[in-house]
Amino acid sequence: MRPAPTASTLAPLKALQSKVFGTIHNPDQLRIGSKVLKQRLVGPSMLTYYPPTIDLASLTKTVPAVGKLVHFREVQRLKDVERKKMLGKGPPKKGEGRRAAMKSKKK
Amino acid sequence: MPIGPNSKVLRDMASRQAVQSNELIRRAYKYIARNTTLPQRVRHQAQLQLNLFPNKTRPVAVKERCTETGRGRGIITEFGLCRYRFREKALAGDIPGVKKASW
Repeated sequence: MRPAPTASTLAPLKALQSKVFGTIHNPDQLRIGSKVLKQRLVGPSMLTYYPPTIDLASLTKTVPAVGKLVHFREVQRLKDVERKKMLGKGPPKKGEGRRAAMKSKKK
Repeated sequence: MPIGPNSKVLRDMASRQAVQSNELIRRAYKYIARNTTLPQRVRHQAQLQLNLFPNKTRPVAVKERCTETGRGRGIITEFGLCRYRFREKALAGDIPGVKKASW
């Protein structure tokens, strides 16, 4: 049986091997920064994290009807506020509220 | 629930965009800086260039936030949701393969 080849005899073979297969030949195990190049790019997957958002400005430009949509609840709220005001139950004016009254009492 | 993303989510989105657009050039500088076979002066210059990039272009500046509420803490990475939204959706059966444990 033949003795196993030593590392020094195998060195040229290793060099040729990396040349043929296009891998990095670094027999002295120096820090040549190939680690940085081998890592995958993380940017593209980072962009897909959040679901796509709707751009309202461009949407209204293409479909003008979108800007004229009314929210039923908001309309109802404004109506209610108007009614409260008519009944004299609107918000107090500045200097007429509870806090202002307390302040004047203190002095 | 809010309709659009809140300001912190917008900031994170901008950061992700910045990371993506600067990644290649940053990678190149990093390679030069980490390559010990290159001259020290060149490596140092590459490192200085790396330091010049804005903070948000660094991949570590990107934070996982809840994709529905924008919460920054208690995120379950696998689903991209905060703990509370995860619980709500899981109990409602909206997350496939997730079931409340019982034994």
